[in-house]
Amino acid sequence: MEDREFTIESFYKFVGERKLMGARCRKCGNLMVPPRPVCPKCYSRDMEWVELSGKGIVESFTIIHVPTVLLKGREPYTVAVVKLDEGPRIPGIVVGVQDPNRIKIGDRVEVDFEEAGELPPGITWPTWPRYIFVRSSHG
Amino acid sequence: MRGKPLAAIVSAGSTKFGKHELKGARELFAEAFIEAVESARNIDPKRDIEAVIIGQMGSEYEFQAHSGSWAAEYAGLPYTHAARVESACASGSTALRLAVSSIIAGIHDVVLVAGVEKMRNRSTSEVTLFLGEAGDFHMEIWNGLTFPGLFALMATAYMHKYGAKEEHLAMVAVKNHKHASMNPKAQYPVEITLDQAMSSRMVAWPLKLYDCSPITDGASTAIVTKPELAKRFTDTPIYITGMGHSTDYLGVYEREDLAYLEGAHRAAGRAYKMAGIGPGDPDLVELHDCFTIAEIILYEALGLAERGKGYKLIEEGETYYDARIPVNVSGGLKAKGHPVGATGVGQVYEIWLHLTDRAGKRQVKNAEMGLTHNMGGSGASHNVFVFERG
Repeated sequence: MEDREFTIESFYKFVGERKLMGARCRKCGNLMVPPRPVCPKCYSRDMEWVELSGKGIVESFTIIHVPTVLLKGREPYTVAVVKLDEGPRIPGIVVGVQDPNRIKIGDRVEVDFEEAGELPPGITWPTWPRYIFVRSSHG
Repeated sequence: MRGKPLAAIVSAGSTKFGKHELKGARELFAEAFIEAVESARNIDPKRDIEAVIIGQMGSEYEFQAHSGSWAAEYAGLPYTHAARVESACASGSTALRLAVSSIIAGIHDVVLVAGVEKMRNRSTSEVTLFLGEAGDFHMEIWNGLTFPGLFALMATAYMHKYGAKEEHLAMVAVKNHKHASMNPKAQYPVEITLDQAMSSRMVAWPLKLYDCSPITDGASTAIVTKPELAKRFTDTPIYITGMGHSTDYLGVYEREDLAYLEGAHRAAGRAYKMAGIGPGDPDLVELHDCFTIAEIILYEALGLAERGKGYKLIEEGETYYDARIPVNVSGGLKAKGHPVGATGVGQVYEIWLHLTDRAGKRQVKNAEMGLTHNMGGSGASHNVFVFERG
């Protein structure tokens, strides 16, 4: 794991292993999700992998009724921007929510993982699995 | 003129925006090109035009990249300087920015700027995927977002933060359709009611069909010259006296305030400073209302309203063509249409019409100064220009 390159491909490889991982700059402490090979704050290339709790709060959300071909058939589904407890924000599908009255800004969610699904015909990349979010059962 | 002229627009052209069954990007470009040539006085493209810069976002639609070369060819200039530039939905204004830069640098004296997009040959889900390329594919689009979805995230955050309602979004659509009803080149030159907008089908909650700009074919052009040459080609040139650009984080999720467009604010500030004006000075504004929420946030980012008060501006009807600060008199992207790469140049076409008294029924009276704001993607790039009569 220590040797894995600090790239988005590596990030999704970890997702396939049911881990949400970020890169922390060893020089300035900047935490990056997804990871980057060069810290945009201090330009260091000295990174370390950090496993994230995957817990956070909904900063905003939408319910998609017209998806791209990548997710056709799954609509309607909710996507939220989640501010992780460790600080960074990431977007992700919140499963089990199809109604705007069932979710609100400030709700707590936690990460879960899906296996890589089939791509639509004619598309061969990316074969990434997805991290997703579920509503936290308490608070 | 308040500012120092950087370059002049001596003429402009535009196709009707909409569905052009039998025309591809090349033919759309050719139509907009010849209108610009015919609107100028005594312009001989082979003698006068030194370069062609064309803005276009997608090469997927027609499996055709390398548009600088076909554009030059269709303009009868097979051995000129030409290139296609891409900055998502800000491709057209980026072409203009590069043209003005090359004129200021003294590389060229006369440049043909164009923008084009052919989109209606594709299905909605294909177009949705292609447009998604302007956002952050790796984190946003892959994880289920769409272009409307990205702006919906801003709308949800904005409404939560400031107490605006879905009706305020719909009011923007009603205004822009009213404006489009006076624009024969608009895709949807029809008025709509607030009820129609509110009851249209959901695309990405809280955004409904009437909150979204349509899928459009179209092309627009402008002939840009160095200021000293302008009067050779027209008695009524308009002058660019300010331009400002800024990027922003590609991913909406990376931005500190989801209810704002910081890049637009910075781009506008740079343009105002260059022109020596303030946000209250332009007589009309064409801004990038790809979604109704964008228009409301942009009122704030461009300084037309205080932060958090943009929705009050539309509530009070202040941005109608005959009101205090006319915004999107063309019908905007919402109702005039949004052929992505053409949009930034189409905005220039609209300002040129008003500043040369060609805008017909929707003419803004005594318009001396116009502003354009063209945005790339979900707000990751912005170009703002200030135009003034000579």
